[in-house]
Formats: sequence, structure tokens, C-alpha cells
Amino acid sequence: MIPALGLLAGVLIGIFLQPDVPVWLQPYLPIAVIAALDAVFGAVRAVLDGIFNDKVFVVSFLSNVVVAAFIVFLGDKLGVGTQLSTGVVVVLGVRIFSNVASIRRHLFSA
Amino acid sequence: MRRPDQSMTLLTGFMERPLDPSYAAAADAREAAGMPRGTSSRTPLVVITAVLLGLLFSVAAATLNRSLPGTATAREELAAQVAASQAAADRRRAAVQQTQAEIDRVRAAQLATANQGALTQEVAALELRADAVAVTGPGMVLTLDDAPGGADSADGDPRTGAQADGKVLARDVQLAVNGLWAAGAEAVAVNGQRLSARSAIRFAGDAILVNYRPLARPYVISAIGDPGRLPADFAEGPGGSYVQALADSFGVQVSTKRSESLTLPAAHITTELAEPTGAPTGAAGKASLSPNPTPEDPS
Repeated sequence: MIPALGLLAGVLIGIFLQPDVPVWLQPYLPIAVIAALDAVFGAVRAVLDGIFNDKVFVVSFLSNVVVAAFIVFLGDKLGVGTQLSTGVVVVLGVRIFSNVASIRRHLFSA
Repeated sequence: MRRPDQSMTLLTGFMERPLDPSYAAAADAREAAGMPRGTSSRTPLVVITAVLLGLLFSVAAATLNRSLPGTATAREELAAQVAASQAAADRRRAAVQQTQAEIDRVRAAQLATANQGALTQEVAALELRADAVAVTGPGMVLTLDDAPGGADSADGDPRTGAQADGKVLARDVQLAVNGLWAAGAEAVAVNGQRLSARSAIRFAGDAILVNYRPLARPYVISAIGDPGRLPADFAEGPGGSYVQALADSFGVQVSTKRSESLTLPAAHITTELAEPTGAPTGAAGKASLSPNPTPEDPS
């Protein structure tokens, strides 16, 4: 519950402060959001499995975001930015869906 | 033993073990150290990360929803430049008209003091023939418009390409205007652009230009002439049959209307100073209407 409140607080801070994201950083935002979602669902599943570990959560979040951004950056430099972005989205999307499926099994035993 | 799906280890790997293996590894390590497998999900580290996550989500949503500021500014600047240029052009056109009116007045006064009544009448008659004055009279109005479902919408029939065929082209307007001239029209204007001997009906991309002014559809061609004969003569002449063919074959919307009183604006006539190039012959070198004796003949 407390992490959920923290999430809400972060959303509200972002809405009220409306920080300006530098233009060079903007292409990485969508992929960073997907990577963060993957970390969040992974953490929720770990909590339900009873093996949650806060350090692992933080490290997986940061490394997901950084690696995803790096892949997009590399793709842009190589001229295959959109393809690599699609690849990142597909891989993380599959992970998100199987984590959600596992969460569903825990919550609804279905 | 070789697994049957060994060639797909990458796929099976992330389908079967979507969770970071580090969670399980950390849990095993904690268990080995005699601690419970999982940590609490309420440690400050988790809360800080949650705040960061929320911030990332909302900032990303806000940033990506906002259109890029640079594009919007550039658009506004361009729109402002266009508006300013149009305003300047309108101002200059008004100034030209004012000066023209002043020239007419001064000339009339001069001719009146010089007691040149005949010359005044001749100037007036020539101005009328040169389409340099606004005229009013009975006539007909021919309206051409693109076929329905054509240019404005992208949902025309892709198999027949109806939207491309149903568009009124500059050539259509040219032939309709020529048909009107042939049917005895005395003055013609398209969308308020009076046609003079120096007018051209051209196209630039998809736009139709008359007197170098782009026109928007529908194209309203007003012609002054004998209201009893002009519509019939036009319908029977080449222009009428061409327009009818446009309507029949391509769905171009054509409507003809008789009008008791039409007012057509004056054409913009520029005067230029002609300079003799070689040996002076006769009265060359005078300021005059620039020599352009061939009337517009676009057909």
C-alpha cells in the first residue's frame, strides 16, 4: 500500500511541477516508461511469490531504464532506431504479459 | 539429453522465466543466511523508487502529449508572416486603386479644362474595352465545383480514383471561359477576378490561379452579356458541351444561372513605359498601355 501511495505522490508531483524534459531526452521517454512498467510488474509478482527484495527491485528498475535507453541511443546512431525500439517493446511487452498472467494466477487463482 | 526445443532457448527462456532470476537468487541467499525469503515492500528504498516511477510516468505522459514546442512556434511564426504579407499586399492594392482613382480624376479634370469632351469619351470607351473599369449588367453565372466526395475527403473510391478525375482543372475553367467569350460575353470574372486581355488562367500544383491569385472552389464564373442569348449560345457552343461532358463523365458539379444584374470589378491594368530598342520609329517611347495586342487565347 505504501509504495502505491508513493507512486501516486510521484504522479502528482510530476503533474504539478511539469518539469521541462530536454529535447534530446524525449525520444527515450516512451521506452523508459515500458521498461519501468516491466520492473513494476516484476516487483508485484515477486511480492506475491514472497520473494520480493527491495535492492533487486531498485536495481532492476534502474538497469531496465538505462539499458532500454542505451539500446534506443545505439539504434539511433546505427540508423535502426525504430527497429530496435520495436524489439525492446516486444521483449518487455512479453515479459509484462507473462508477469501479469502470473499475478492474475495469484490473485484470482485463474 | 538434448531438449527438443533447444533451438528456441531464447524464446522459451523469456516465456518461461519472465521474472528476473535475481529475485529468486536473492531469496535463496537470504534463506541461506537464516532470514525470511522476502524483504518488506515498505522500505524507504522502495518508496523512493515508487515516487521516481510515478514521476517518470506523469512526466512522460505530459511531455509526449504536448506537441513539440519548436514546431508550434515555427507554425505560428509562419502564419503570422503570411498574415502580415497578405495585409501588406492588401494595403498596397488599396493604395494602387486609390492612386488609379486619383489619376482618373486628375485626367478628367485636365480634359475638362482643355475642353476635350470627345477625348474624355474616347478614354472612357477605351477603358471599358480594356476592362479597366468595373461594369454592371445582366448576364449569367456558371458555377463549377469538384465532384462530391472528391478533393476534400480522402475516402473517394480508390478503385476508380474518382477523386482525381472529379476535380476541376485550370483547363476546364479556361475552356468554359472561352466558351463564354465565344457565346458573346462582354465581361467575365472568375471568383471576383476580372479577366482582361492580360489575364491568365493557370494552375500551380492543385490550385487554379487567375491573375496570379489562387482561387478556392467552387469556381463562380460571372459573365455579362445579353441575358436572352448568352446562356443558350453558351449551352450550344463548344464551352457548353465541354462543361456538360465534365458533368456527365466525371461528376463535376455544374450549374448555370441567369442573372439580371451582375457587377464585375475592374481588372488590374498595369501601364509600362515602352522604350525603343533600335532606330526610333514613329511615336515610340511614349507612355502607353503596354503593347500586348493578342487577347488571351489559352485554348
